Amino acid sequence: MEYSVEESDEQLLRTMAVGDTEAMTAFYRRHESRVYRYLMSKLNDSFTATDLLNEVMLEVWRSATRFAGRAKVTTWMLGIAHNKVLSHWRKQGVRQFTELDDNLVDDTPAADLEQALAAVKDGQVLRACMQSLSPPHREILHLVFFEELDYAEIASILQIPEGTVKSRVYHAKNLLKKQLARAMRSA
Amino acid sequence: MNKMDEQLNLWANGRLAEADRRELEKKMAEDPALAREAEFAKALRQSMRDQPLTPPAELGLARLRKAMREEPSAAEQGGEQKAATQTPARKNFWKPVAIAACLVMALQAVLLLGPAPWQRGASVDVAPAAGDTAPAATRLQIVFAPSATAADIRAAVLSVNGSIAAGPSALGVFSLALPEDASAAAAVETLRAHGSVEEVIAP
Repeated sequence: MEYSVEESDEQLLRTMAVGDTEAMTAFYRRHESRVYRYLMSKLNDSFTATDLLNEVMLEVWRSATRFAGRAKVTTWMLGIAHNKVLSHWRKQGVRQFTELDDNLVDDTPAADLEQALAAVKDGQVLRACMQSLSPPHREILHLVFFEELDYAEIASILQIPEGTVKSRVYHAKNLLKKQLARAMRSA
Repeated sequence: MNKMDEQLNLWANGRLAEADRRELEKKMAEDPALAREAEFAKALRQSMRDQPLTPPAELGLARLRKAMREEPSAAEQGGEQKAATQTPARKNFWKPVAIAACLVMALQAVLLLGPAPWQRGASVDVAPAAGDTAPAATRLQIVFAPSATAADIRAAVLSVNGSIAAGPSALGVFSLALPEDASAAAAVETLRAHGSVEEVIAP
């Protein structure tokens, strides 16, 4: 059976729950890019992101019967992706950045906003500067500006308080501005 | 500051409520620095959305389908879990059978190799070749769970003041010697209470 764009994510999940692989195909095509981009924002490694994309989608397939509808399907799915990355890091023995202090006061001079504004419009410069940020900072900027999620949804995905989301976004943006301004000066 | 930052980000994403949007835009009109911050947020959003990134697409889907084929469906998984709770008895059915078979073989060897037991005065000589006297103690046949650790085995053996007399055989059967005055039935009961013991058979 072919599924149209009219089909909601919840409807697809209900059909997947009874073992309909075509519904899973439709779900994959609809959300593959979103999950892959999110994984890349955290991992910055296309090979691992591809592996984990497969694991996330397989987990969605396995857990379709357990989707309770308490959150949006995308929030639930990105939560699965977040946990897959944490498990991957644990297996690799990588530091999980949980010790990131979001309340740390940044007393370095503020970035030159005009320089940052000029640099942010250059895709290559932005990519390079994003890569210089820590995974949690890259991830949070991705969730705010690419996924356009509100802070409550981000808090639910990352399992952190909403106040921490606010501080982390604020710090991540300031760090990015500094990197962009520096890139502009050295250009 | 974080509150204003959140408002700017929501504004850049077009997700600010109408009344809040109008109020924020009024502030921006009065504050050029705030307006530049808003412009930065909007440019950041646009540039991030414009970043090219190619997901694995059909190759990724083919890989997922393969993994799904190897995966039991939710309904089958339920069935498997149910079966898993029933398997241990079926999976381990061979162990008591193996113990019984070993005992039959041992008895058969004694009957074939030794003098006929029905002949008056005949006795079966099972004295060790080393010249030690044959142990008078009762021996039990015991099989431990595959997950049993050395500590589990030691605890089980010491709980009946026993000692491992032989084994394990190729089938994992140990021969456990009990003290001379020990009751085999009581020892079997004690051993069966250990989670690490799978099967115990008294002679």
